[in-house]
Amino acid sequence: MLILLTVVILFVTALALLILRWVRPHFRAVWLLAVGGAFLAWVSVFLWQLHMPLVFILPAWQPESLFVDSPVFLADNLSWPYAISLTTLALAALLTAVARKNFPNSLAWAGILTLTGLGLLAVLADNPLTLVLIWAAIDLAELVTLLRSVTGSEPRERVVIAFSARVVGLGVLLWASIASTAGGTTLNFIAAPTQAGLYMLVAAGLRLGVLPIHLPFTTESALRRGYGTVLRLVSAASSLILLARIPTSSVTSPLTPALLALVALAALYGGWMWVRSPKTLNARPYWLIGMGSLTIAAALRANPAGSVAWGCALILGGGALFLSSVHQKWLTRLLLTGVWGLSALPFSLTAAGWSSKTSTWWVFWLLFIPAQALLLTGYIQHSLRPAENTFEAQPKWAQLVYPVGIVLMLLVMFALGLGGWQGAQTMGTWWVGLVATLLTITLAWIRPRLRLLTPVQAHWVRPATAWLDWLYRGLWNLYRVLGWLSALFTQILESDGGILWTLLFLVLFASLLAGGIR
Amino acid sequence: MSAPIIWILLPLGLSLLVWLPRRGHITAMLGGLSALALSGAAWLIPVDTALRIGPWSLKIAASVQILGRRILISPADQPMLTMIYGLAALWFFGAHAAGLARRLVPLGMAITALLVGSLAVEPFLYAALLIEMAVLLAIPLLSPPNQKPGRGVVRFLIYQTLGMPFILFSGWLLAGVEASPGDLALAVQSATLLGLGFAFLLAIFPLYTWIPLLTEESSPYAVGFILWILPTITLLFGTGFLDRYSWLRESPQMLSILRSAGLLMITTGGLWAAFQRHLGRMMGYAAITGVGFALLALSLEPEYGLAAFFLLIIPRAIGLAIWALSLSVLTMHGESLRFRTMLGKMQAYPVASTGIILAHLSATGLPLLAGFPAFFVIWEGLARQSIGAAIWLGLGLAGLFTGAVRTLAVLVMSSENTPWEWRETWLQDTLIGLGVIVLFMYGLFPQWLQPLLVNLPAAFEHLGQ
Repeated sequence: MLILLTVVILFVTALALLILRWVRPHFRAVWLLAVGGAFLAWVSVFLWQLHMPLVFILPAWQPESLFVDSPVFLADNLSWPYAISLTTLALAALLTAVARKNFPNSLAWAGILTLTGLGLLAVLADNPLTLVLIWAAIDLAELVTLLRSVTGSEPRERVVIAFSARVVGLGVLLWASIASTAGGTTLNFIAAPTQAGLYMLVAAGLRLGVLPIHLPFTTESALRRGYGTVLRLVSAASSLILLARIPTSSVTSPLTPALLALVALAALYGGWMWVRSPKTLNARPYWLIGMGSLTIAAALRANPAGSVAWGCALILGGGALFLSSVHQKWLTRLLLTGVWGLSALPFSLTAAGWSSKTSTWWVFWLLFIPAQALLLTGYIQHSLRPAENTFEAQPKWAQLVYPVGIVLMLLVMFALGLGGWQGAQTMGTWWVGLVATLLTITLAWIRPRLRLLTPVQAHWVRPATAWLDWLYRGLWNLYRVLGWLSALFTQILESDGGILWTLLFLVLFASLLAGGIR
Repeated sequence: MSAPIIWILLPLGLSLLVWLPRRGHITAMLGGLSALALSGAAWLIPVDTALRIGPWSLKIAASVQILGRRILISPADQPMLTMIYGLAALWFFGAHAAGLARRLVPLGMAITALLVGSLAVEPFLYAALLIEMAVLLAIPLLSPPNQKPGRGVVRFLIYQTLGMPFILFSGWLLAGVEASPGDLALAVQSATLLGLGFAFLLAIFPLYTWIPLLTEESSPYAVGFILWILPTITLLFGTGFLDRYSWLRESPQMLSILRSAGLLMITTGGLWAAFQRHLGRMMGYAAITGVGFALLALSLEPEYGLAAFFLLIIPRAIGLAIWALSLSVLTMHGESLRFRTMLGKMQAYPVASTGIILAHLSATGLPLLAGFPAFFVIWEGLARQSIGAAIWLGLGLAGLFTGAVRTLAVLVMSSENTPWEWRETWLQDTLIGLGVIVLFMYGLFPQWLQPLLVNLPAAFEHLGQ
């Protein structure tokens, strides 16, 4: 019931905000209400620790002869870190909202709380059926909110494309289930055939924007910093949890090294673009690609705890950075301490990140270590960037509240390195963390001196590289050719002579079928 | 008093009665309430069992003889009647919002009664005649008297009429098969004719060309109603055949044909939908894939398949009703349903556009929406038989989803600074809104209608066991 309590707190608070907006638009304590709800939810997630593992089962789907699984939610050592990260993100987004230009905005806050509630349900999903249901809910919620936020035909087209890409990811997970059923086993998070495990990886990658490498949304710059950040990170978390749930035996395949190489390249690409991007919010997709790739890599090396570690670092580290919109010397220094959580050094959040239950070819380290170093360098660079507003320009009470949001994210990041789940208090593969940290220091020192790493001010936002343009054009042309063929066939069947054509086809199919059956 | 009088003759009489009011909303309300009452009666009143009401004792007989033919509605058929009239009520209540109440409610009631009659008549030979009468009644519904019938209506009539002789012939031959079960040639001939008859009635590929044509030229709501009731009753009628004849039921060839036909419907319907540029045609192709899913369900193991088949009926009907009503809202305002005129219309018709998109997504089996539970179990059942067939099914769904994405893109792509409007009426908003809520509820809790669905297989003595 504790799971239900947390989710209900979030949803009821969101509903109350919407009702208040409608009934009493000038109600002054609306922010307090939002923060109060988020705080209660945050505290309640800590209370889960008292009774872990927690299970919450929805009424069973019937008839039972058809449905083997029903929606079930499980809070355990793997899902709890994600849950606390998400609630922390929501609370931090609301606390830092005081320093934003659009304050107060109860609609955005209601959206943040709703998305967090859905994200919590996604990370707690105990079987693929539950996960696809929650994924669909998140996708529809994201679609609606984005369509309300952007205007103009082109940005909205991008929203639709993003929605369809995510649904394709959802479809791949469904296909994993179908493929598993065809093999004689029902897909679940305890045992899954190898083929299904790889499909699950692809599904998570597609929904994260890692495989294939997605393009940055220029529309995202139109979204507000708080809501946009929560939207992106909740979506990412809901995909990443799948990686932690893939059974170890299911990722052992001859294809695994090839996938690992692909993921390593994606991580390098993400890190490279992240370090070169001058604007933090616009670079957000590269953070997701880079950190998401490290998460997938951990899953491919049969390390679910490592996958959770990178996933939480993505949310907490990225959240602190993306929510930060006010420049202040001490806050910048605090942000820089987040590097510890991302470093994979012993007792840090990501200490378990490079552990592995399978042997890793040494060449992969040559790709993954620079990728991690690039991500860390980018983090440092974005922490030091000049912010939109100055701290001194904020009202007194905002000067008190705003830093709490940022500090909270960093505190939880440190705390997760020390306890509360199975990946905490570990030395991990310390030498990789050390090498990556040293490389980061070197890169951070070199970056201002090396033109190649200096952020370029123009052109980088160009949404597609040449080869991607070519690929999209090719696909579009193929679609048009198929459309032309379909139109031709339709015209034949629907024309005046269509009945005769139809009968001819009928005879043809009947004879084909008869041949097959005989 | 007998059951056929209550559920066949009474609605036929009611169809005349609901024609009398001049106001559409009264017709819709009367029709909806009548159908609901018939549905409730089928749920509550036992057939063939003495019912004591105070000092009186009442027994509703299961059958009635008309011109030497028997019309039988057994207690096992009651859940099916509950479902059929309940869903018909849904369509009738929405008819006024679609601007079609005075045509759809009387004709729809009569069509429903005739089709229920086709399920109940014995020998089944006469069912073909009742179906044909229902088809003829559908013509004024699809093509108003002051309008020249289009190609779609004509083709609909031709194909449905062509189906009748095949059913009649097969009925005649099947009587021979029953007499001499060892005559293989006769069995093959009768099965072939039966298959052809059902191919015409169910609009199996490539006989479904009338569906997209009809969706282009007739009222979407009227077409939606026909696309719901005709295939549903025909499928129930066909299931009755499978139940009655063990040689048909147990024949691996029959299951293979059902599977191939279902896959053809889903794959071609889905792929064609991916390239459509007309919202009405899109609905037509989705309806085609819906029939394909029903055929696939029947091709699975009997108990599993039948349960999946019944699980499919209600979400399909609700999805089609929402879709058709939403499209009707657009056509009532004089909008063409072609893509080029639909650009950015979500700003003007937010509720109708939402209805179209969600109904379409439900038809593609998007999780959380009503279509998902049934589609998923059918897909799983198919995968157990053949992974290749499951891939084809996935291809069809991908095509249908592509169509949904294109529809979504067209409806939302408005130019900068287009203001939001609200051109739907409150009744349209309420009905579509309620429908959307049901789509979500059924997608999340498919067990809610289980009390009704659990007894449906009992209507089929052998398959339902």
